Amino acid sequence: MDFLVNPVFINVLMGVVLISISTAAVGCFLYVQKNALLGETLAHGCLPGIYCVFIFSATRDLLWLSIGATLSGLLSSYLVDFIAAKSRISRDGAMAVVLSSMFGLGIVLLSFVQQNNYPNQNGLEDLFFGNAAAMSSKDIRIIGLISCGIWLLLITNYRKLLLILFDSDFAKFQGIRPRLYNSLISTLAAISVAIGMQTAGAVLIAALIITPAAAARIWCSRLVDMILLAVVFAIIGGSAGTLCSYAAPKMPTGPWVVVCMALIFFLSTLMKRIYLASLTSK
Amino acid sequence: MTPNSCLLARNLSFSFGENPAIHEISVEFTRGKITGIMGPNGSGKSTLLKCLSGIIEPHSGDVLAFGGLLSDFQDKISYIPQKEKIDWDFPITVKDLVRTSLYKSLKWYERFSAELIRLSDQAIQTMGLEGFENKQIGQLSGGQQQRAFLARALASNAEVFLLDEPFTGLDAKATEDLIRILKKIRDDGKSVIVVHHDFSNAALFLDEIILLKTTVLKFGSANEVINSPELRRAFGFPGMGQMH
Repeated sequence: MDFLVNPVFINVLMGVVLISISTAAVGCFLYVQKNALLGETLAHGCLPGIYCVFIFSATRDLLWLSIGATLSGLLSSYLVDFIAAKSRISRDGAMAVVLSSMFGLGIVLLSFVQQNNYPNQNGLEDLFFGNAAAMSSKDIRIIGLISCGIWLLLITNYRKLLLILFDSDFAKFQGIRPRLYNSLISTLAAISVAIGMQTAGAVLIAALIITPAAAARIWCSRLVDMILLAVVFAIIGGSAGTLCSYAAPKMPTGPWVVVCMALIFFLSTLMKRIYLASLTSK
Repeated sequence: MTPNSCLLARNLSFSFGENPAIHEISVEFTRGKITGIMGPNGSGKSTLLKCLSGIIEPHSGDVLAFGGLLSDFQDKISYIPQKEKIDWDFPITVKDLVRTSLYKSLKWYERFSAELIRLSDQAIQTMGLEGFENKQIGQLSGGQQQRAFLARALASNAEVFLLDEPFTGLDAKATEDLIRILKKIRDDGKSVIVVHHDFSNAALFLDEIILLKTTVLKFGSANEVINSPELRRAFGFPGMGQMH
């Protein structure tokens, strides 16, 4: 039980849990919006923003990198909307085009940084698969503050978000502007992805967004219950993944967290099937 | 606008790009009646209904409600969308669906008052959905789903009910039930405006029909419109005007 007093472990655990609870909450809104792949698009779309911030400021500060990542992620989201609206390409086709293009651009920018010997560049390549152990106490404070902001916006706008996602015509009828609140969801998703990049990386962060939401949806008939259960799953998955990576120190935390959340999803699906079978056999 | 009317459309026009959906529509809806908006596919029925509800702004013309601006009487109007516009897998229960009509009267931090809960429970009871309050909406039958949306409209204390093709996908029994409910709403003094396709049962419950094909071809009592030559012209079928 020495891990309970290990400051590095506590640091990583706090960071992973804070990120997981905000990504899980935002993920529930993306899930019911039937926009689950947006998380993937945002994650890949964040990379060019991060490397641009690094090229122009040479900073590794999480706050600045997150701002770059968020803006770049949002650009990807708007590109998807633009392509889907202005061409005959379907939304999922537009997402595939944008996420692969932005990922490619990210790799080009990283290569540029590496070839030009920018100072302080070590660890930038970690953003592909994440490196939670590299989180500092300052990073945790930034993640905590941003997570609180995300939750505050979700709570204060919950009813409006529910209405635009469920019945956008009725929302318009009630004077709510669906476009504004859809943009809020995309923005919060981009911010969640941006602060989670260091933990899970561009390739895996989408799993932190959608897996808890999908596992919770199996059990819940109400959006609010789904969000709360997704958060519980995210805390369990995040903590279990951090513990696993502590037990196997040469393995990164992000992939362990994703594997634990995937296990929760499969267990949740299995338990639901068993539960339904027991009901029908009664 | 006469004192007996609930909604008045004046020269309403709306286009999708270059294609006009409705053009120069002027019509007055009478209180306490069920009015059908009927016409062939693409004739602008749903567009007219959305303009009447205020969901879309007409490109020209305006809508008056109860003698004033539509925006001042929005609380008196309720809108029930087409079935296929709804995500029936959405995690929302009947009780929560009905209560969405009351969100407007609450700030984000306020809970439902006892009075608002009574209103929504009463609407659920009136629509015969007791026992289904905690069911996810996708678990209801087609008829129950329509009644759940009507309960939402009732809970908002609306005077005018706008329904977009509410009979789509309903079987004969559910259709009969819904007709009975719409007549009851009318008999309680409220007004119902419904986009409807089926001329075979139109005269059973519609008091008036607006026959639409981008413009108003005919407006009158149900029998008058069903037997009119304009109906044959609208659909291009010589025999359609004889249906009852």
